[in-house]
Amino acid sequence: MTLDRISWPLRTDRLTVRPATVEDLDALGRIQNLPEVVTWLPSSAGTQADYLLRMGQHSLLPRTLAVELDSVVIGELYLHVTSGWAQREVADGARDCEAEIGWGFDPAHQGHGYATEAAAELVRACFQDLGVRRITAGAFADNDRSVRIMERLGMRQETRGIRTTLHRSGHWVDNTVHALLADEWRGADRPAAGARA
Amino acid sequence: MGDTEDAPKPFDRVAWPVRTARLLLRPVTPDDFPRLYEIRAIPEVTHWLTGRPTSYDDYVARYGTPERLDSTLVVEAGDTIVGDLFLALVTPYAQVEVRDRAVHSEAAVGWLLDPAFTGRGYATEAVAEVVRICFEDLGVRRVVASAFADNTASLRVMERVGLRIEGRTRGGSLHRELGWVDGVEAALLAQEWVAKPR
Repeated sequence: MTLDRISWPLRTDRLTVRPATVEDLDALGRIQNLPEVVTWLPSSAGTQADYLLRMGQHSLLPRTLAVELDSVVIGELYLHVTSGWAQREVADGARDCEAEIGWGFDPAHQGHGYATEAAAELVRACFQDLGVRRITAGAFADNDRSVRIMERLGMRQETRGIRTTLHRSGHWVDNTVHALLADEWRGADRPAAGARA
Repeated sequence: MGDTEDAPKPFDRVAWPVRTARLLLRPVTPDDFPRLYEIRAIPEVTHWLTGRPTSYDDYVARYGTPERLDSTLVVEAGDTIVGDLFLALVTPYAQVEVRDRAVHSEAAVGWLLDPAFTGRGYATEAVAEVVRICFEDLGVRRVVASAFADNTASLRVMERVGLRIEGRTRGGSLHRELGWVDGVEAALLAQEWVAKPR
């Protein structure tokens, strides 16, 4: 299991990041149901039963990390390790070398840099502990908050898709995909805050 | 959950063969395999392709599947097969509540041409026609294609048929000889498409 290659929990200056458990689903489901959060998510959580069912159906729990502030779950990170695109003859060289990440935080705890702090630590763990070569993150293009987090993480916009994604409102809207290579991350200056000893 | 839709057969909705000014397009049949394998055995052709058949049997095993037969078109100029085309319906990302409306609303296309027949505009002519088929006959709302960024011949075809480059992945594609190199993703919306006179 990919997550086993990381030593949990991850700690930053203010936060703890660890694999989510079923016991976290109440708190995470409540956060996902908030209107400000759900508009950007793949599906509305609906009832708590709906949420639990969806998490199970799509095997999402193993890709979910709980983020705690003073032992309170304030949000989650998403981590999905995938293989890179490769010509068939060299597919082995692309196996499990990429990670897609995402985040969803309680609006009550926004504005303090928590998502960026937690995601930056996840980026470090992906490059240093998992040894992936590339990290991507996707969002609706209008999700300014998430796009700003991507930029703070040093990610570049690689794709701006025009009217690519069907939002539950019925409108086809733009999406963005940002990416960061391990080489770029290693070469970048990073603030000391949030880094592990 | 997963995909529970039946495998789409878009070719059933098109009246074949389709003719352009100089070419004929039609679904592949097993009789075409020897000629198509011959084209794919040319190193110049497979340099940019996802796979390089190791033998005729390998080619037939990979390209003779029902899924491949339902997504491969042959391009003829006169009596000669000059290349083949890929056309498959795809479902883009949609929020779950409206996913039904997004199912198979897009088409992914690809092309390859025997180098002996390049330089005449055949690829542009064939791909432009495939784009028309996608929008007019299949009613998709978006057509997508991708390529290695250094595949300038393919990028030129994309430009000529109106496919916009939406994404450029830095070192995002592993090439068997070149290592990790850039890739491009292109798209064209039905709303943007302008049919060229034939």
